[in-house]
Amino acid sequence: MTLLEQQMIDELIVTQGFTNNLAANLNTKGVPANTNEGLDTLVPKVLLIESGDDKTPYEEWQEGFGYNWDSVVANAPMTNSQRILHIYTKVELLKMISTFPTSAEIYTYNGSVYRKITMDSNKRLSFINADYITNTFDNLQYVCVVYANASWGNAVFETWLPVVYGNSKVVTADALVNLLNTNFVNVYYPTLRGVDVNVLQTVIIFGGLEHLTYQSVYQPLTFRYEGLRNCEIRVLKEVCDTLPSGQTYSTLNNFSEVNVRITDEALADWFYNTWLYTIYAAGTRFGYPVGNYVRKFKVNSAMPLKASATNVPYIRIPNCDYLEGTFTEDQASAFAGLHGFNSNNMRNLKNFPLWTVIGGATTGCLLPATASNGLANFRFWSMQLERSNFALFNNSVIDTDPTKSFVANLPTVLAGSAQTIYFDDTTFKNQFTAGEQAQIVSTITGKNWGLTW
Amino acid sequence: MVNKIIQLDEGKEARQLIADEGKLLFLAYELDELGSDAQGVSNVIIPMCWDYEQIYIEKSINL
Repeated sequence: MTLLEQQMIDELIVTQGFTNNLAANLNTKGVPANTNEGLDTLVPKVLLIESGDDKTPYEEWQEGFGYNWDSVVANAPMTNSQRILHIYTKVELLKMISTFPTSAEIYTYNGSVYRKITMDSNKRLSFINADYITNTFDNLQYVCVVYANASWGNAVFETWLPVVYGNSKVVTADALVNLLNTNFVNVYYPTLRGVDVNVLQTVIIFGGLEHLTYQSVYQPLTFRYEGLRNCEIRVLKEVCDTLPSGQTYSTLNNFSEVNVRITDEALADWFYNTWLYTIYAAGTRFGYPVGNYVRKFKVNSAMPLKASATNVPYIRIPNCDYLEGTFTEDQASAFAGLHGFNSNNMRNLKNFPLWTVIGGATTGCLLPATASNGLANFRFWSMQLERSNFALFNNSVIDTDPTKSFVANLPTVLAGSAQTIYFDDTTFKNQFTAGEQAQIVSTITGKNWGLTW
Repeated sequence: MVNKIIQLDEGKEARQLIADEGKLLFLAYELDELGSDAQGVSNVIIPMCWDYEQIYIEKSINL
């Protein structure tokens, strides 16, 4: 054996030692590995090691209390079994709703001692220093109150309460007292961070909610949501992902008022492109304020845009960079052509809407408006528009394939209805040569549309 | 309002309306629908067949 060969063997032995150590360490971290593998497969497995520090701020905050709330509820020296636990921010006095039942048992718990408290004739609960508990995560003081009754009526907690956590898991029918069911949840419980409930029925997911668990689900289930951000959308998704198979749900939302802002791209995709279509399976109409944004909005052609007698058919889809898919107008709509694609929420749009081409037609299925109407006009507010699918050219000749470009997809409209296309960005046209612009104008005006660009 | 005929491809034509200085063109029906919220434009290219004198109203810009 030469000296060089011996050196190579020594180096291989050292390398195998490293490999063995790496495989052992991966196994210690819960990633399956063995010493027969090479570094080429072992090294990438490092990425499979879970960080171990994946607690959410809510979980860390709950750990800061150090209590098992289910046990606190179970061990309370109370007669009645229908028990509700609330954690409040530190207050000296709580004023309950005027119809709060006098039959309710009420105790505080300070981590070691339960103290019975009595609601006075003015429905007030008074606390003393010994009642307060300190959360070691945020170093703030709170007060834990356990309520019990033989049964609970409707809306007994529907008043302003500085509640940060609610637990009604042992209440048989808690839908009316579980803090998720009030119409005024944003007003009444602005500090609420988490709830553990028994039955989901009407669920209001609102800005600030970080945690929601449930034991069972009422059929049908109804959601409302307000002021959502990433965290609350995660809660909503967790709930929906764990619903029993076959569970249906709907929403009570007035979509013209919904303010949702999701910066997590995957969550936004789930919310706008999956969840909304789930709850609007019977017909889709959107009405989002400008703050709603998703990178790609996937138009679902299977759901015709249909007019409503009570709400003008108005495509106020979320602001997005790109529209994917085609719109399909109800061909029997009494509100023909009133697409409403002129709302100012589409500020980031880069491409143009297309309508489904039905049965080999020469244009998309957008209907001509039967009379002049502002909702039949296009106004493109975005400064980000790209030429890509506005008009296509083959050897400097405009492409008339209606599946490929907005201009070719446009229907011919009635001259008397005076429908127009308006660009806020008057430099958009400069993406086309003078010759291309002339063909675009010719095609658009040839279909009886006016154009400001 | 300036009324121009513009030549397009293959001998086709369109009409361009340009608002006079300090004025904008408003779609008459949008003025009816939206009132003071109606959006005016400084110029617009329209089909030759439009009855533009009925369709567009020129108004001074109120600053």
